[in-house]
Amino acid sequence: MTSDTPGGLMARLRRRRSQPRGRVRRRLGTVVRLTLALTLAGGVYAVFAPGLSADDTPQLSTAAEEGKALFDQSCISCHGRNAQGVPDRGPSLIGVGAAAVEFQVSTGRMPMARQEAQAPRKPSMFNDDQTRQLAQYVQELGGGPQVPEGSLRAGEGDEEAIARGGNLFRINCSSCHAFSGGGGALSSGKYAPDLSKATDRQLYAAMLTGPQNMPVFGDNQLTPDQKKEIISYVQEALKQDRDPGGWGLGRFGPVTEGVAIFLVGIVALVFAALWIAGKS
Amino acid sequence: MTTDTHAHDVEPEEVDIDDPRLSRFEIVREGARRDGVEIVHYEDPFPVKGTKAERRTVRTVSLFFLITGIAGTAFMVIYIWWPWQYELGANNSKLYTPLLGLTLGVSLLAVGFGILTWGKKLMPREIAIQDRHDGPSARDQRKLTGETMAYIVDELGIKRRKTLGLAALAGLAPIGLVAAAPLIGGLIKSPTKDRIFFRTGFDPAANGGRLVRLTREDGTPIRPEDVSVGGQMTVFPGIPDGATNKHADSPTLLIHLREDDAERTRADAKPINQGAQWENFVAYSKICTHAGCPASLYEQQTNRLLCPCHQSQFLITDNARPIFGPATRSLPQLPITVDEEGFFVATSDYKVAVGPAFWERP
Amino acid sequence: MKRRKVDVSAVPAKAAGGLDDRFQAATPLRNILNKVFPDHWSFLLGEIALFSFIILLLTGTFLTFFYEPSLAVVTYDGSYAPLRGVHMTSAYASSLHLSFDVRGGLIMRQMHHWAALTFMAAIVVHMFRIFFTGAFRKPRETNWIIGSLLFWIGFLAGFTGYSLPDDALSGTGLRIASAIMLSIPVIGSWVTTSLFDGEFPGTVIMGRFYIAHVLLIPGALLALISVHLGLVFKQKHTQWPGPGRTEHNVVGERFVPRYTIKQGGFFMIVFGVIALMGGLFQINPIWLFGPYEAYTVSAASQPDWYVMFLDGSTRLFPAWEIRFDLWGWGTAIPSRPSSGPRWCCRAS
Repeated sequence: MTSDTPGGLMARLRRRRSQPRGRVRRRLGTVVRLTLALTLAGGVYAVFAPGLSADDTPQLSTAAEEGKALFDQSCISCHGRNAQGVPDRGPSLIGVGAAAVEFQVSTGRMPMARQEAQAPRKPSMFNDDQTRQLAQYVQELGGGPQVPEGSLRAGEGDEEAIARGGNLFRINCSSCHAFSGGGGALSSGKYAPDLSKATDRQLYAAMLTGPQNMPVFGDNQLTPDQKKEIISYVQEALKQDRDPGGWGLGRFGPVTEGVAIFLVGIVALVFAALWIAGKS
Repeated sequence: MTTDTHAHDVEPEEVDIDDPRLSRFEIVREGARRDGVEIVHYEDPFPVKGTKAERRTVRTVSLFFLITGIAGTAFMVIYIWWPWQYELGANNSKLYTPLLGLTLGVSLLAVGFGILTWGKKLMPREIAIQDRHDGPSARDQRKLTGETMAYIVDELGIKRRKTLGLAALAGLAPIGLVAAAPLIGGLIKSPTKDRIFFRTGFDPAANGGRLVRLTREDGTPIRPEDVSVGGQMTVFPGIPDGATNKHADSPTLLIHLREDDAERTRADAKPINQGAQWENFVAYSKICTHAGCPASLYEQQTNRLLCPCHQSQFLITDNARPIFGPATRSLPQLPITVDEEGFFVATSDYKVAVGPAFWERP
Repeated sequence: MKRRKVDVSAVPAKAAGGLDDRFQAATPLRNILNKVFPDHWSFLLGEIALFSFIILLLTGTFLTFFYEPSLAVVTYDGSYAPLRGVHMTSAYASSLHLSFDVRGGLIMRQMHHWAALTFMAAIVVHMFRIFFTGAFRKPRETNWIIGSLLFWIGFLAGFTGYSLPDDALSGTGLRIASAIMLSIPVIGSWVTTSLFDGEFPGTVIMGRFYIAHVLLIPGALLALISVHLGLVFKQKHTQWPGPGRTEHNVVGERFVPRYTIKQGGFFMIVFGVIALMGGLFQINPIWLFGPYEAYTVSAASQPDWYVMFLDGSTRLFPAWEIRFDLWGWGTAIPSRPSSGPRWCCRAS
């Protein structure tokens, strides 16, 4: 396979040279190497591919064509030509839908930097337009769920909808993402992520597609309206509503409260006791 | 200062407290002495009155009390006039509690520091020594008290009149039981009545013999297409109050497995779980067999179900067998099928008791 | 008529004289005023616990005016919009009510909770001091045992209080407690059904926990704290070595005024710190947890810090189920092999 060589070379390079360098430099190096490798892969592809794919590629819209170009640059090494998947590397993307692409790419989870228990959220490599183009390409390849256009909230300030969303959140979401939306641990290094950075579209796409180990909440289970209510609850109640009882201590529950009572309460009182009993 | 000697082994001569030449402090010191307390060091921090240092300390203490007054007033003003009723969003009502805490805390701390500075800086310093009497009472005291108590027993004559003692014991023991009976008798409740630990809301017997549907929390029944592949749904018995805490042992997790996982699950089913699966759908009790938390963290790719309380993990594709953590038992599987109207029903109640283990459980 | 002139400066002396005529208080009172207390900061750790207990009584009494210990289901329609229309128990609804619809209720609730954490933390720190200075030895063994009892009764007070709001976090804790009770050999299921009046959660548990939390447990605490202090008063503090200090004396300051001033000032400081924490640090935001339903739970559900040793050991305990099976006695289901005395631990 043409795209194997740069990857293998990259891995060897990384193994040999990654130890003594600083984090920032390592990251920069990774980006540079990645770009180089992808350019190389794209170039090789450009030489060989057109003739091979001409007959089996369906007619693509303009946006999808743009997306395909991006895909062939950044995604093809793991997800394969025409998103068919590469065994032990990346799954086929046929039928995952635009929603899945939008979630994975806009949260920076894809492209993955390395194989690990779970792809972490990081700054996205693509801007919104590019993300939509990629999503459009995958959508036209095999269909699948899509995030609807327009507002994904149940109406600004609709408190009844927020309350309904809260109920749904506690039944369906809080077991993994915690009452506060702060996330929590799963098995073997996996985790349910913190929702604090998630946008409306990302929340919607996550429910719709069940990324990684998250269960799928299809439209028959949570209707689009219910999804919007959950989004309203997360964004307007959990995230925008300020804590009425003072600093929320990260909303981790009794753990941080226990830390606070010793580090703040008992420490302050012991210092007071030292002063009181000290010789004046 | 006295050293390691018994300060009061040598009894000092009594001071005549009516002696008009004595200062008040000397009388106080005499009183302390009669209480076994020797004031060995007593020093006024400001022997010369009205020095700069003294005035400064007085000002500090006054300032603390003034801060108390200001903070206390601020507390009252905030308590009465600050918008306090909850409003969703980021607004001033959210500052009500922090401001109350800040003003109350500052005023209390200032009182505390004011009093303490007064006591520490303005009042004379003293070192007093008091005798400590560890150990037993004097020998003759012990003997007198001991004999008195022994004589009480003699007076009652229990040693001589054994029958009386036994009779009293036999008579009083039931009285003790009578005192305990209403409490224990009122509280006690049999766990075996109606086999409550072995039945859930899915028992058709409690539903007039009809099979119980699986429903959502609002009571609507569920069709197979309601749960996507790789999805899960918390379901409840479709009976009145089925989704409330009246049936706290009934919440169940309905999972739509992928084709290959479903086949593996069917092939690996234990005898008791044979036939419980309907097509690619399985339903397991959500109540952890360890301590009863809802084990509801479903990982759709690894098919593990996690309990967030004590980190037990169950493998859904292998009879929900515990594979990690403190749980010892598999999650019970609810046998399900789809009725003629196309809704999920439980073909019977759980075959084993759900939830944490107990003594009578097989 | 000419009124008899009242000499104001003579009033206290006259009043004191009148009291002594009746109670002969002069000698015992002077005894107390002159009692010497040793002066060391570590002797104030126990006071933190005592003062937090007083704050607990004050704030707790306020909370009882608004809390309703009932599991009857109501529909919430208070100020907290994100829960409006949700079905919940009266216990939870009244906890929300006192947090959002009672002026200053939230800070009282938060101060109560912080004071509870301080109470337990101070007990533990105080016990460390007693333990590492050997102050538990003869003649003070009784007071050490009473102190340990105070920790455990405080533990119960904390757990019942944690359960009363009936939010999803405390309900989960209560369910774990019921599971722990179920695991008691022989009588586990009887204990559980008797406490809950049937299956968990039943309808009476909040009433029972409430009376335990506001009457029985504080009563026991108050009684034991009185004995604890009485014994310290009688047996006197231990003291650190220093110039003039021996096994047979106490070196320090007399009770009144210096020691009482320090105590009073320190009480105000403890009160102030708890007020600051109660206002500035949010604790137990029950409105985020939602009402307790048997099917809701949050990732990382935790108890308050003084219960964490139980939570941790429950996690770490190996997956064993230890069974004592005496000829099938207690067996309700025949499928269990019950052929004789058997001891087995089974790990799946």
